[in-house]
Amino acid sequence: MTTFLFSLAEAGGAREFHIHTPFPVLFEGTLFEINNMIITQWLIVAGLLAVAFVINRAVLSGRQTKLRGSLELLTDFLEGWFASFIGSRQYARQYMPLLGTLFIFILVSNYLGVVPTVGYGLFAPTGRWGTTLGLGIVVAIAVQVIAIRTLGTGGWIKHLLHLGPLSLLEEFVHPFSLSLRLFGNIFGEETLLAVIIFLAPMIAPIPIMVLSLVFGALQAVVFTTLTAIYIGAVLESHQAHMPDPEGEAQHEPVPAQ
Amino acid sequence: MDIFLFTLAEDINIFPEPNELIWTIINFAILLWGMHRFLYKPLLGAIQAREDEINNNLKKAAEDRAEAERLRREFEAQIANAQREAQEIINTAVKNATATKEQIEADARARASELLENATKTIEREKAKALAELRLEVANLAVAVAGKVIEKNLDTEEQRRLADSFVAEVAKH
Repeated sequence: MTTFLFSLAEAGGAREFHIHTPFPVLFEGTLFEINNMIITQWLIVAGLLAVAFVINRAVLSGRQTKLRGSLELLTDFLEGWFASFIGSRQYARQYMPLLGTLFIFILVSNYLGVVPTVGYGLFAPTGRWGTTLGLGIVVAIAVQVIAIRTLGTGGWIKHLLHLGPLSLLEEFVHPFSLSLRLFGNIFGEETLLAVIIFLAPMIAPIPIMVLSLVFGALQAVVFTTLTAIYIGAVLESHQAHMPDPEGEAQHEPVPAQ
Repeated sequence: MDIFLFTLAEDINIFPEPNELIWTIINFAILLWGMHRFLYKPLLGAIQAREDEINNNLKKAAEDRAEAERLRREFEAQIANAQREAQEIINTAVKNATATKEQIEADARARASELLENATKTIEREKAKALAELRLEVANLAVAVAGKVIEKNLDTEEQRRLADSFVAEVAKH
């Protein structure tokens, strides 16, 4: 529950509504300052890794079971989904770990904003711009690394030169647009939920919580799908350059968002 | 009555903090590594392996089909060849039989004409022999008759002429 973000202070008969930010726990004031949001991230990472490890040991290392078949089917479905944006199943398979991990991390983070947490304990990571911008930077770097891997360094520079000033700017804007969309949605959702809880704590928050579940999943899908589209745009430019090694092919700007 | 005061806490800062950026990137990198290691690698590997197997099977099936097709053509060619050879053998046999038949007929015909010829010759010879014997007999008879006539006054000269003309007369018949 998002109430940990907010506190209800009673001072002089007035109920005061506060929005709280994560509080530092360790290495305060340094670049590696650890606050409760980062600890929440660790818990998410540890939890997901534990689940992945258990699945790996219990399901994936043994014989073919129905559960394993279902997982493979799900992976296959996701691969097809990403392939529809990336343009090829082979590339979708190659970049599936990145996209899938982004999705599950964002989904769990979003849902932490809805799950009741006690006091000032857990802090939904995607409710902080720091987290979402971090993910956006990861995506931007990944896209450029993929571009270098497929186009080669020379091809990558040529690709950037072909982009034109606006498209080039767009490459730098991507992490911001991605991160702000996610952060804004989740932060807004949490604020709304907190205000509703503050005003009418009993039943009114439930529809908002249900909506939060839907939007939380939706935002994870949107973030991941856009990442797939950015990767697809780079690979598409690779394919566009491929039959024309002279580099005369006009690169179409990425139709982002 | 309560008064609701919505005030932002003094320390509110929605802008990204460098430490949060750094930790997010580190944490995500760790998560990505782990998820890849434990989940995606085996799952995608299994899918890839299955796809490879299916593709191999398809390829093998296509190869088998091509092989079957090749064998079918080969067998068909062999059957056609065998039929052709059988026909040739029949044709040769018929030709040989016809030739043999003609040879036998020709031989038989030749043998028959030879036999006929021999028979004719034998008959001719027998006939000539019989005629000669007859002629001699007649001559002797004539001489005997002539003797009888001579005894009845007939000179020798006349007698012989008569006998010869008689014999010639007989020989004509």
